[in-house]
Amino acid sequence: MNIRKHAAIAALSIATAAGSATAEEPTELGIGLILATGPEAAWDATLLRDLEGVVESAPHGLDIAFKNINGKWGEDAGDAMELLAKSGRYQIIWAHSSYSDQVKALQEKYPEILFVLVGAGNEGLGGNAYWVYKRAHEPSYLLGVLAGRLTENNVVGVVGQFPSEDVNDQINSFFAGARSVNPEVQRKVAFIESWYDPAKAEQFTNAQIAAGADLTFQMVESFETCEKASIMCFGNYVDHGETSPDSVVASALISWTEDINWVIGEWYDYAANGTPYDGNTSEKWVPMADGGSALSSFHAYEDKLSAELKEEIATLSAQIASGELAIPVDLSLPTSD
Amino acid sequence: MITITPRTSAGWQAQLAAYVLALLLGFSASALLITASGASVSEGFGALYEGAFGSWEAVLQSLVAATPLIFTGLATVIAFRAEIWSIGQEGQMFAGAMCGYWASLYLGGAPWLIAIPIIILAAMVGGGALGGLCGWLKTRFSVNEIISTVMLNYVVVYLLSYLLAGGPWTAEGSTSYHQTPVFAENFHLPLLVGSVKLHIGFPLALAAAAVCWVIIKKTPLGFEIRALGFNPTALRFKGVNVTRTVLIVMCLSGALSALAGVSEIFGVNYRLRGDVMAGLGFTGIIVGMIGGLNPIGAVIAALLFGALANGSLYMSVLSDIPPSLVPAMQGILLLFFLSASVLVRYSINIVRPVHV
Repeated sequence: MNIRKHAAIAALSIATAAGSATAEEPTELGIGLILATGPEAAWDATLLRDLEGVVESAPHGLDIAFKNINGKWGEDAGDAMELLAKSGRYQIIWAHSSYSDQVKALQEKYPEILFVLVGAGNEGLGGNAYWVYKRAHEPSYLLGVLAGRLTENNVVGVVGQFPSEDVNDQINSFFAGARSVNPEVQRKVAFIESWYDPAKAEQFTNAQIAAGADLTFQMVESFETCEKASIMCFGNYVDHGETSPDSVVASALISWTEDINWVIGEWYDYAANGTPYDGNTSEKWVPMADGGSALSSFHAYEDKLSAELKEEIATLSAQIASGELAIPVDLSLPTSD
Repeated sequence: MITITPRTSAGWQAQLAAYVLALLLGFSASALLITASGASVSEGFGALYEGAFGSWEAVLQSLVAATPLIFTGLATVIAFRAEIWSIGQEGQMFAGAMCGYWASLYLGGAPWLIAIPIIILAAMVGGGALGGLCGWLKTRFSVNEIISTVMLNYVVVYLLSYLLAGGPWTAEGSTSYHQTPVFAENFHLPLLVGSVKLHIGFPLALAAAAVCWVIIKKTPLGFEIRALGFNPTALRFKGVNVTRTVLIVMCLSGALSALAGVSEIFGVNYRLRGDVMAGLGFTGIIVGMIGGLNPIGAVIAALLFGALANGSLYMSVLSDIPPSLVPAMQGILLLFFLSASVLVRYSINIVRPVHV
């Protein structure tokens, strides 16, 4: 009897312990961010902005804390990731650019950590490495339509960062949009060979203007130059019309909220339910229809643009959102005419 | 009235004192900044120390960070001692890495003992040729070397971009980006210690410093380099072929910068991409200047910079200091160092005007 009683108690204890182990839900989450530049660059600033929003919304009831390490490339970034991992305070390491070499070296050493790679230049590693891609080619197409309609001399410029896939797609869509309404548009393309360099951005914008461009898509955040030259510009990633209302007609916006929530969900599933990590090995991006990107409002240009043009943009936006209009992803190297 | 006159020699003790003082003042100013931000000074400096010298691994990482700076610092020393104001270390470093990579494309499965020397040699030829081109433009057409080297920096960086952006060197198997594929292992510079990436580039850099010191101090070429800096006209009257000396200096400087590119690309990153090298050439100019245009001084300055870089990394990760303060601290320390380097090279006097 005693034996049975003890066995029953033991079985009950084991069952209770097992039950509580699976039911034990994490309440805290630390996210370490590796940024190639820092909050001064729109690419990084948008992530920090959206992460703060996610922290506020507390998905799964999590108390989320994050720390950003700025301006790290190559092995420096790898060392920073390892320090974050070793500290034990971070369950997700979000490497916000092309860091797959560094993550590849660490992912097996820290199997409990979820790594995130972002954008072009990475390879899909799978396992505990997830790959977030950002495409803003759809709003860029709409900016192109605006440019095609607004240009007076049919010379339209783009000042980009590096000729990488997730820059090329935007430039090609921008010109596709411009030529869809104005086949006479001539392309002027320049790359500053940096992810963030305001001085170079200004030089290259001036060169575009000198080459005849009366409108430029400023992927590199130099709008004072446009104001000085009294030309219209288009912004990228963040709503530059808020800060440069005199020159910025509209901007192609990006949002990381969906991506962050997806990654946190994957980690939570691993931590709470023991579901193994299953990182994607091919590009995964959130389209405009699902909030991955958007076209900004026109701010000061709301009253300057014709009602017909605004209507045209609204119609095209709706068509993209509904899937009626598909903007192809063109990754070829954009060149000037 | 304030007058600034060059010192003949400040003496090594005075130089050491000036730099130690600069270090203390730099840290004091940084401490004020950290306090103003509400973060803990002791925690921040503790992390800085831990990253710079806190463990054997940290020390090795600091040496890794210092290695390319030793090369570009030496490149500065060689050129600036001859008063040739080459700002081309950045482009020459890129050229070296590119030529090294280009050579590796023809080496296939060659064992590292054969492949590495060829890669290093090709890099030195590439960097040296770029430096030599600026020297030739200077001697043949009187093109100011500051202009030519700065302009060629752009040319080389954009040439690399052309080759990587969908060009023949673009990586396959990943999304298109400005980088080559990862190198085969026989092209990696051999590691010296365990898992930390301290590679043979470091002893090579020390050897290069020793060679530079011997050249400058003990050889006729060194005499010509120093004399070129003091008085090129007198040197010409002495019968020295100044054109030849300028070309040699620029080739040497370019070859040294190129080794920084090899070190960073084949020793640390194992694939060619521009962003991982960006700024190492320009930092080398500061390293050379802080090192008093002396090869040994440049090594010491580079080691300090390497320790600071690695310490800053630890500080950003392990302390609660706001991320933007870390580069600000580096900048503050740099300003104090540069001020010290001016003080050891120049005498600043206040002269009261004499009224007659």
